[in-house]
Amino acid sequence: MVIVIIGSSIASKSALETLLPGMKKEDRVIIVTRDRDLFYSRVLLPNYISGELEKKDLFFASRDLVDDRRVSVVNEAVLAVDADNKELRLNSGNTVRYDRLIITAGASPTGVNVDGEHLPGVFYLRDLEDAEGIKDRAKRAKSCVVLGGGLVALKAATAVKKSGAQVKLIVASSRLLSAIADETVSRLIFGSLSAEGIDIRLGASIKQIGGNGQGVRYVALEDGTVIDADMVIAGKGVKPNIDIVKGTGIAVERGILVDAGMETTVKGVYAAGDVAQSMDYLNTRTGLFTLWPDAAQQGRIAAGSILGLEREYTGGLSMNSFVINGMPFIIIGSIREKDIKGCEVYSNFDERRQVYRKIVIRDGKPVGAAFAGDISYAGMVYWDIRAGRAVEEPGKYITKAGLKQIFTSRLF
Amino acid sequence: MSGSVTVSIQKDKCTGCGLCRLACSFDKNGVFNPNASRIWILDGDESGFYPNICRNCEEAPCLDACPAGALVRRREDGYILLNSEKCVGCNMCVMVCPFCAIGRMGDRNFKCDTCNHLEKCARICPHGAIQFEKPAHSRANKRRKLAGLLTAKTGGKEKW
Ligand SMILES: Cc1cc2nc3c(=O)[nH]c(=O)nc-3n(C[C@H](O)[C@H](O)[C@H](O)COP(=O)(O)OP(=O)(O)OC[C@H]3O[C@@H](n4cnc5c(N)ncnc54)[C@H](O)[C@@H]3O)c2cc1C
Ligand code: SF4
Repeated sequence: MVIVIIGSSIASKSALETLLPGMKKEDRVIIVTRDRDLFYSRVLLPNYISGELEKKDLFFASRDLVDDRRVSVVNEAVLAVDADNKELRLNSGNTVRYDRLIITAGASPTGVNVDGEHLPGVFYLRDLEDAEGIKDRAKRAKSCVVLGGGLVALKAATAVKKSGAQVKLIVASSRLLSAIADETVSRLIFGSLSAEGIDIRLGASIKQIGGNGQGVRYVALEDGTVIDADMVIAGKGVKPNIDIVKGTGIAVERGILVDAGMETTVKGVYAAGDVAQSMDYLNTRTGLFTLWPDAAQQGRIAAGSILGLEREYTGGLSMNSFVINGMPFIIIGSIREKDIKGCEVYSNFDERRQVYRKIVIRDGKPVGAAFAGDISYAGMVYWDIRAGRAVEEPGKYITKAGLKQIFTSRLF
Repeated sequence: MSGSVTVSIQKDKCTGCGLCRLACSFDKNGVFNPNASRIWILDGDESGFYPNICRNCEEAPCLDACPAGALVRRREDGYILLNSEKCVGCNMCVMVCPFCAIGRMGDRNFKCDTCNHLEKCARICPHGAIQFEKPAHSRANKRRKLAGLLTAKTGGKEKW
């Protein structure tokens, strides 16, 4: 059996790691990837831009993993999947045949869609090549405009700031991280970023990126403001790389639709990671979970399905952990005001210590939690949400002493 | 993963003396500072004490969460290690560890590493409250289990 994996990031690595010990001697794995370097971590790209990490530090797994006579690597982009003939069409015109296919093609940044978006000096941050471009430009840049208020935009802004340039963050929404954070978390992030010297404009939309052959010179906003800039980084979200399955029987919505075994609507074809649209743990809908831990899990489950292991994906759950200017944040599940109407909400903000905790309860079960400034016992709360464990004393979830009491009582 | 170290805690044997925390912090940081320890003692009031430490989960969520490749299973004994050289301190592992067994110092996370097989906490504990069961034993267990199954097949009563 020939198992082909498209992609060489985390979902691919965890699929491969699962396949190798489980597959038959005569089985083969072919990894087809457009990456030059296998197994580098996108999540670490900001640390590379800032100079905290070197290129050699970006790898989350060793290339040795593919040093196995049953594995081969094809460094080429896939143009299209031909599901009828069980074949991939590659950039070079070559084809690769498969018996089983795991698509882990990830996602790509959404375009900014304004005049000047193709000028030299306009970047996105997704691949190592993007980070290299940004790093190089930032060395010479005086002023960088970052577009977007999501996690990637915030990380890009901090990274470029650390590397020395002035940074202005232009956010269309009225607050930071509006896709996952509540107002208090947004405000705390605003404070942390400002303290790092990042200039933030909320509720501002961009009209045009201006410049010449040398590249970007300014960014113009809808309200008439013009901001000098010699580079722009757009972090306006991502969309799954589903183009390669267009016109096949593989059903897509925003991502490739998968079942609990990560199988697509075509038998023998699986999808995992950012490219997949999977079950949502908290809702009956499906959703996109463009998150690292999910990609790792889904890759393993896809591989397990091929090996005949019955392991079901229990659903994605939004979860994010990040540190801004020394302040740790963890957000799990639903905490935004508009998502939690009709829920019981308990929160506690200690102004002096700059510590914030929140727990959201729906029908007696926790569905969301936030931690800022102190993340102790976040792991326990994460599993309470995952397990749908009934909350007995909600007030305890928002103080450190209370959390410790819950944790201790569980152990005894 | 079969054949991995299992960590077992016998809470009824813990007196809360804190020697394990001192031994841990000294081994890891060269100081007697319980706050630098990778083992914690929870005080359950009348219920006694509980030494809390990484359980080396069979399906460890921390492994999947780490985006830096800092968390890996040691090949020889299946123990999960956090390589501080690779750690970027993102706390993703902290977010998913059900035992709250990952700490943080400075800009990095840390967890138990069995003191390179020396298990200082287990050795110093005067009451035997902490035990690291070696895979060698686990393998022996597996063999016994197999033997048990075989005897079961042949009518034996052994159950595992
Ligand atoms: C800057 C940044 C910060 C992030 N921070 C976090 C964070 O803090 N926490 C978190 O959970 N997540 C974070 N993420 C998201 C995380 O990186 C992704 O969820 C994760 O990488 C998804 O892994 P994947 O294997 O599904 O796909 P990807 O990592 O996107 O990899 C896709 C792979 O497919 C290959 N590929 C794509 N198309 C083709 C083709 N046509 N032919 C051949 N090969 C192809 C690519 O080359 C690549 O190897 C961050 C992402 C970025 C960019
Ligand atoms: S650190 Fe936590 S999640 Fe990881 S193996 Fe130890 S107890 Fe399990």
